Formats: sequence, C-alpha cells, structure tokens
Amino acid sequence: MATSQDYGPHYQCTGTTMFSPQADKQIISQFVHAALDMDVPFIFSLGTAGSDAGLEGDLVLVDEILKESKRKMRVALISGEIDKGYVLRQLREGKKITRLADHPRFSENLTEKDVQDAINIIGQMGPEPIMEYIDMLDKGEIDGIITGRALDVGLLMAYPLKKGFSRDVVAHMGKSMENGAMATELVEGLPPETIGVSHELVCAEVYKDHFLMRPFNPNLRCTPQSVTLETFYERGNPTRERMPGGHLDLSRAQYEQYDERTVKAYGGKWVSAEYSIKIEAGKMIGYRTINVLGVRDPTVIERIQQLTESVSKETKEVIPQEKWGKYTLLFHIFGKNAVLGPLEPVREIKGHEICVIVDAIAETQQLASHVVAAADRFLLFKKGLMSTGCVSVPFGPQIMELGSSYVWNIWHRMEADDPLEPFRSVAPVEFPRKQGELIPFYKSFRGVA
Amino acid sequence: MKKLVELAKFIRSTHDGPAGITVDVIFRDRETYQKVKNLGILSQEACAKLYNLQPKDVTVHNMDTVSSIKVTLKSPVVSGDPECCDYAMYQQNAPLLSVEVPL
Repeated sequence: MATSQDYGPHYQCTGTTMFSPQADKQIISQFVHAALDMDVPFIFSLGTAGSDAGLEGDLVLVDEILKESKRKMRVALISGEIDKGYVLRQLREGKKITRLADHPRFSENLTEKDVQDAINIIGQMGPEPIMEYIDMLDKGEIDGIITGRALDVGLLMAYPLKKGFSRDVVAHMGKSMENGAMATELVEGLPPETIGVSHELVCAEVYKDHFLMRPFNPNLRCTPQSVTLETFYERGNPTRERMPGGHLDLSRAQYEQYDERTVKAYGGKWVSAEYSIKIEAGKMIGYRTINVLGVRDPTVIERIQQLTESVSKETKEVIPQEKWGKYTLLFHIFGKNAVLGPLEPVREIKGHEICVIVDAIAETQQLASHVVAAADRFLLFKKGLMSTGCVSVPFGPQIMELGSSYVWNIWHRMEADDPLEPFRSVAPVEFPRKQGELIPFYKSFRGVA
Repeated sequence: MKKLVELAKFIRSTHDGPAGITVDVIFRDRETYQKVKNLGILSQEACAKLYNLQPKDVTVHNMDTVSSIKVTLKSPVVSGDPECCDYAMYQQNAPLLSVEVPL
C-alpha cells in the first residue's frame, strides 16, 4: 500500500481518500489480517496523499477493522506531514529550497508566501525514518510500521537496508518493485481479458550482489524486458532515479531470466549526494461549480469554439467581476481538445458527438454557480441554429457544486542535514485506539521545540 | 507506410512530476526500433512539432537494450490546474499513435 499524488492536490488539501472509505477499508483489511494471521511484520504507507488528515482517515478504518474482528496490534506511526513552522525556519536559516517541477507556476526558490499559502506540506520520506523502528519490530515491541507520505522505493528499501544489505542492490530492488505487477507481463498465451491480474503483488529475494523478482500470481511472469520497462516508467530519465540522499544509476543494470517467471537483476549503482527530500503542497484557488452538457447536432459541433467564446463574453457582461467578484469561466470541450489542450495536434473535430463541461471557479460557491447557470442558459438557447436547444442535458441537478478547489504550489527539494528531523513519529501505538484518540504527533515532534 | 500503433508493443504516457509528461514507445522487434531511430522519426524536432512544443521542451532517450524510445515533454499545463483534464497524463500518448513509418 502506498501514497499517491497522481490525481491532483485535492486529496492532500482536503485529507480525503481518492477511493471511497469502504474501498480503502476492504484493501487495508486484507493486508492487516494477512499480517496478523501469519505474524509477519509490515510497513504500510496510508492516507491517499499521506497528509496527517488523510492518514488519520485510514487509521480510523484500521480501528474499525480490528474492533470488528476483536483483534489488537501495536504499530509505529510516522507522519508524512511537515510542520509549516519547520519549513519557514529552514528558509530563515538560509537553506535552499529549490523547484523540482520545471514550470513558471512554481517559485524557483521557495518563498515564505508559498509556505503560508499552502494548506499543508508533506514530505516524501526516504527509508531512514522507517529504519529507526526496525529494531522494535525485531524485538516484537510493535507488529508493524505505518507511515503517511513516503517514497515508494524507500518503503521497500528500509528493511533490507537496516539488515546491512548493499544500497546498490536494495535501491535497485525497490525501484523495480515499487509499482507491483507493473513489472510483470501475462504468461504467454493468456488473453488480455484474463481477470485478477491488474493489481497483483511481486516478491523479491535480496542477496549480496543481486536480487530475484517474481509475481505471486501464476498467470503473470517477470521477464528482463518487463522489469526494465518498469524501472523507467514515470521517469523523465530512464537510468537515473533521484532519491533522498543520492540517486540510483541504472545505466549498467543487467536482467536475466532466472526461471520461467523469475528475473535475476544486478548492476544498479547508488551514488550518494547531500540529503534532501521532496516537499509537496497545494493552495486553495476558490470554489468550483461545473455543468456537463452534450452536443450531437453537427451545425453546433462545427461552431462550438465560437459559440462558447460568445457565451463567455455574454456571461462576463451580465455578471461583471468588478461588481460580483473575481471568477474564471472555462469550457472543456471533449471531442475537440480537452484532454491534450495546447498539445493537441488535431485541429478539426472528427467525432459525431462531443461533451462540453462548463466550469467556473470563484471566491464563493454561490458566485461560481451563478456564473455556470448563466453560461448554461446562454449556450442552451443560442439563436440562429437548427434546433431550439443547442445542447443535451444528461444530469439533474445540472449545477454541480464541487466545493473548494486547489492547485499545486509547492513541488520543491528541501535539504535536510538529518533525514529524521522533519518527520514526526510515535511508537508503540495500540490499535484499536480509544474512541476519539487521534494521531499524537505533535507531542513528540523531534525537529521543533 | 504503417502507423506506430501497429508497430509498437505499447505506447504509454504518464506524468513526470506535475509539469512533465513522459511517453514510452516500446517496439515489438529490434529491426523496427532501429529503423524508427535511424530515420529520426521520433527525433527531438519531430516530437516537438507533433506536440506544438519548442525542441528545447522535448528530450528523447533511445534505449537500445529494450528497443524502446522515451519521449519526455515539458507540459504547458500543470497537473491538477483548472485547465488540465488529464491529471495523471495517461492519455498524452495519443499523438504518437498515428505517426507514420515507411516500411
């Protein structure tokens, strides 16, 4: 189980789960019961984005799972959220916090305003804060470790690294394993419709100078190609993986078919650098309301760009921003260029139907809805076209209020002299916790008095 | 002429941070990979033109050992922004699918 920032800043800023709590509960339940049944120590990273609020949301589910099955466990909890005061102190002490996302939307060097604007800041912890608790695991003082936001590779590295295995091998193993079955392919002859193979797990055996890797599911296999493809997935540079404390160089990595479903890998090289962690945050930009519409009439489709532009102008005349407050009105035209935006090479609309999402972001929810409702009316009853209504309405309510809306504003690298210092932790915590008991991180924050 | 979608094992795209896109073209065989590479069909300039970007915003990595080409793009739109309709950038592979290869 791991945290993810793939689907925008909403989950970090609101502390909500990407999936429904029921879906999270089912997944967490399988892992918790398996670990307790077999008495296997575990390291989980929970809470969707991994902020304290997100983590707490999943820990409540852990409480429920254990209460329902009348079981108990003790864990070490490590927060992935970094105190804003801590980041401000780093800035004031002159530490460099530089942009990792190459886009003018992010400050090249982090500013105090960025920190103040941020809803909450999370840090991608490396293996070190987790390694601190391996001794407690070994002594049986805790059953497992649960973290908030963490580097996927670090979660896999922590245990073997603590046991003295080489960082070259362990980092290479972590990188290859971090997306589970992404590093596998279907056993030859099986069709893509084969079920039960999409979210499977892989297992690795770590040795002195190599590791072996295979999937548990017999319908899947690892091949030199499937593992290599995994190592450069999601990365701009295929052979260089930056991590806290250095980078993994895979330019000389070797992969051999060990048996039918197992790959032997070696040749990864760890290159140390000064220790730094990635910090991530979002800020609020207002409240958002949308309206989803369909178009099938070809005379409307061919003029949709001009029609929405005129609707935008008309709306701004009827609801002047000087009087009502600032807002942004957007039309996402699926079937034209919504998905690729400015990168779309296809100019003309080729499909026979399209979808238009009217989208407004304003200082209040009422204003956002007012703007969408006006734009909707103007678009619906445009004159001079074939039919009375320009668009189809697929939903009631038409006005969909999405609540507060956020954008990323921090995606930076923060130097850390001590890998543990930014991350608060506590152990042992007994689960299920008492009714109303929350994460006690602030009591044991190591970095700040 | 054949389209890349007919020649590749897969053409996948995903995000590389909130303002980056990385597209991997994994070929079925070494011969086609070499041909596409040698003809410069997925060169920095060709990919920039295809995605309406400046060449400086495009990086191409040719990976001989796995017969694959990685195309990394600077995204003009930040993931999660109001203008963005592909947060994880999974659909940004599409323009590459119809690239033509002389065979």
